Parts: sequence; C-alpha cells; structure tokens
Amino acid sequence: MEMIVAASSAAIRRALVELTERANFDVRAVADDPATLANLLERDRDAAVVTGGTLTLARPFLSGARSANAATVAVLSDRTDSDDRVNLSYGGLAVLRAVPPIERFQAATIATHTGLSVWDPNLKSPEDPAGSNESPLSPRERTILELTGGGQSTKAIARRLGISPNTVKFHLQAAFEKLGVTTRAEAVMAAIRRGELAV
Amino acid sequence: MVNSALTEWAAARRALAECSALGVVGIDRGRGVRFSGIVWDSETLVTAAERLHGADAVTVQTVHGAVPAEILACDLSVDVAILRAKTGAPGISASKPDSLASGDDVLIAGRGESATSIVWSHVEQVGPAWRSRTGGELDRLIRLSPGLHPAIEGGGAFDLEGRLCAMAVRGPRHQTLGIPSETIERLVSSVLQHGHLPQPYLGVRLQPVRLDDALRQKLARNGSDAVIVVGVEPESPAASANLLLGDIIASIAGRPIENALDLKIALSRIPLGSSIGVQIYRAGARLDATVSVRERTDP
Repeated sequence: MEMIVAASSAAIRRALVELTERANFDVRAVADDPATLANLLERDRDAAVVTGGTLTLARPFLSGARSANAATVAVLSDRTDSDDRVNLSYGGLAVLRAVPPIERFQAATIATHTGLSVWDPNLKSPEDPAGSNESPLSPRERTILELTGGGQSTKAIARRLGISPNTVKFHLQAAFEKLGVTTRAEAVMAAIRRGELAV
Repeated sequence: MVNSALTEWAAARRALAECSALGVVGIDRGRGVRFSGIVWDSETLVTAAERLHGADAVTVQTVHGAVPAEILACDLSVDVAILRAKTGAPGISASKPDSLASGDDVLIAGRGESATSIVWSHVEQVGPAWRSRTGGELDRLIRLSPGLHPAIEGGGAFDLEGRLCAMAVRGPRHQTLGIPSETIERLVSSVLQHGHLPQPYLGVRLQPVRLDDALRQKLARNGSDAVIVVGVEPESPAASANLLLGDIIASIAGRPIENALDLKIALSRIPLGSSIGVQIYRAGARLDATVSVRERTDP
C-alpha cells in the first residue's frame, strides 16, 4: 500500500516514516504542511495518509485528507475525550494511540482503505469513564430499563420507542455489561441500587 | 385378594389428578419452547414470568384445543406472568397456603402439547415471607421436591383437597419453588383492575449511605444502613412533595427503608393514587412529608 507521511514536526515525521516502513508499506512522499499534502493527494489519489503527534498538530492534516477523501491513519500521542471520538468517527479514518504495535497499525491501515472507521480503545483518557464498569447508563439504556422493569417485551419496547427490536437488545446488552448482570430483572435491580433508575 | 383401602386410595388420587388437570394449560411460545400455566378464571391464566418474558404472544393448549393468549403482565420480581385467554375452563379455587406444612403431599399439574402431565411431589419446606434476588416479595417460602420438569414449570401445585396452593417454578440448583397462591392473587387482582402491571412510582434515584452513631442516636434509628436521594425526577410525586437532593428516606407508610429494594417493595404494596406519609432526615433533623403515589408517566 502507498502512503504519504504528513506532519509539521520533523521528529514526528521520522517516527511515522519508520513505523510505516516497518509495517512494509511504501512511503511515497512526505508532507510538512497541509498545502503540500493537498498537492500530493491531488496527484496520487490512491495513497493513504499517515499523520500523528498530538491531536492539535494532526488536525489540519486530518481535515485536508478528509476533504481529499483519502484513507487516513492518525497515530496520536495524547489521550482524547468522547467529543473527539464523535468528531473523528468517520469512514476511512483510523485513530491509534502511539506507539501502536505493527500488526495493529497494519490492520488499521488496511481497514481504512476499505472505508472502515477504526478507534483504538487505548485512547480513552483516565477521567473518561466510557467502557469502565462504573460508567453511567446512557439515557437510552435507562429508558429501556425503565420499560423493561414494567415487564414490557422487546418488541413492545421497540414499538414504543420507534426503534428495531435488535437495537433494543443491543442497548440492553450494553447496559448488562455496564451493570455486570446477565438478566433483565437483575439489570433493573442493579440500576436502581446504583441510583441510575428512579423508584 | 383385593385390598380395598389401597384401591380407594388410588381412585382418590386419580380423581384428584383428573380434577387438577382441568385447572392447567400448556403454553407454547414457539420454537419448541413449552411450559405450563394455571387457569385462574375463565379468562385469566397465570404462568412463570421467567419463561414467558420477552414473548409477544403465545398459544395456549387446553383440554379442548389451542387458543391464542394475550400477555397482560410479566412481573419478573415474583416470577408471575398474567395472560388473557378464553379457555372456557372454569378456573381453579385457591387455598391460602397457611394450611400447608412441610411433608405434605401436593400434586403438580401441567400440560404438554397434547396431554396432561402430573407429578406427585412433597412440600419440603414452608417458611415466612421472603425476597427474591430480583426485588420481589413473596408472601411465603414454599419449597417443593427438587427437579421439576421444564414442561410443567408454571403449572399448579394442588393440595389433597384439589385447591391450588402455589405455582411450581424452577429455582437455582434444581430447586422447585412454589409461588404462593396469595402472591398470585394479589398480583392478578391488581393487574385486572388496571389492565397492566401497575408500578407505583415516587420519582427518586437513591444511593446507599451509612448513618454514623451520633446521628442514629439523635434520630432514634436502629440500623445504620439508609438511602440518600441523589436525584428527584421533575414532575414526579417526590418533586411535588418537595423532596430534595440529600434527603435520607427513613420510612414510607410506616415501613422502615434501609435500601432501594425496601423502598421498591414498600411502594409495590401501596395502592395507586393514595397519599402516604414519608419520613425523611434532612440536615440532621426528622421531617414528615406526604406523597401521592402514582404510576410513572411514559419516558
């Protein structure tokens, strides 16, 4: 696969070139500012972009790559919050935490090439509770547990909320994991005990 | 030589089995999943909520054939589900299981696809009211002979007079539990009155809190476990009664509250629309409030 390494800092560029070559990808060009990157992408439409450093440093390159519709891998050195995650979740972008293992970098790069969005779970910041066992239920999960507590079936809940039964099951499963339970009745009780559901 | 005592005994047992068979149905929720249910009255059935939960509609197998059933309520906390179906059967008569004692013979009746299933069982243990892990209060502990067949789960346990004393359900570790008829009765009358399972609602989110000795003495409270209000839902009964964040709920309708489950169970015994007294501790002082309990409005 052909790659363009893009970063304003020389040290980051060197690290990214090394990473890309170790992954057996072909480094076609190096860009030190977003304008150069745009020119390179103009000429080489199939190339993928590798950028990195802090999110602030990477951002101009990310938006340039996105407007050129190029597959992109961002190797970030800082942690991110949930807003970043929302902004950076689009097809063709992989966001990895520095320094990624080679296999992870390879897999992510190939995934972006097929238009997938990749998010490294190691990017969570310590104060961001998402994914931890103590994470709060989402409003949707809470609503579904409230309806479940009333003894409604999956289909009835789906109808009520105007979503598919599979989506209801998905939210329930997510709530089970957060609450550390396996059945609906236990989930309702656990959510009440944790102060997440009102009685 | 004919032993007439034995023959009579066998005939009496058979008569009891035939009579009990009329009080139960088979329940088919599709994909080969079958269990049993009890004909509470000519239009109402009860069965095991754990088995029924998640189903939208089921078919009921009666002595006369299959009829569709509508699910009215599914209370997982006490494992009782209530269905509406026109079975044409007369319905059972329930006994208060306070006449039940350890060692008594009971007959558990259920129904498969085409035939009745009957097993004779014993009452292993009868105990006082208890709480299920899922937050329900059962009026009595009834433990029957272990190893209930899944096909007759949800079926009725009948005493020697042919009266229903419990619904037989499977508990953990192959135990067979009896859901007492008075618990079923309480739920059925409430569901038939409202058309669904009423959920009395206060509108508070709670977390456990430990009262220190000084505060306990000041408030003359025995235990140190309590719950503190960490959320009051807008326009809820709790909000109307001006409950505040940080209030400790000491008792409700005279029942002491030590944890969220206590509150849930206390509420479940309060008729909707009634006003009840709530004792709270606020800023170290006791305070009385009145709340009017109603159902949760749609989220």
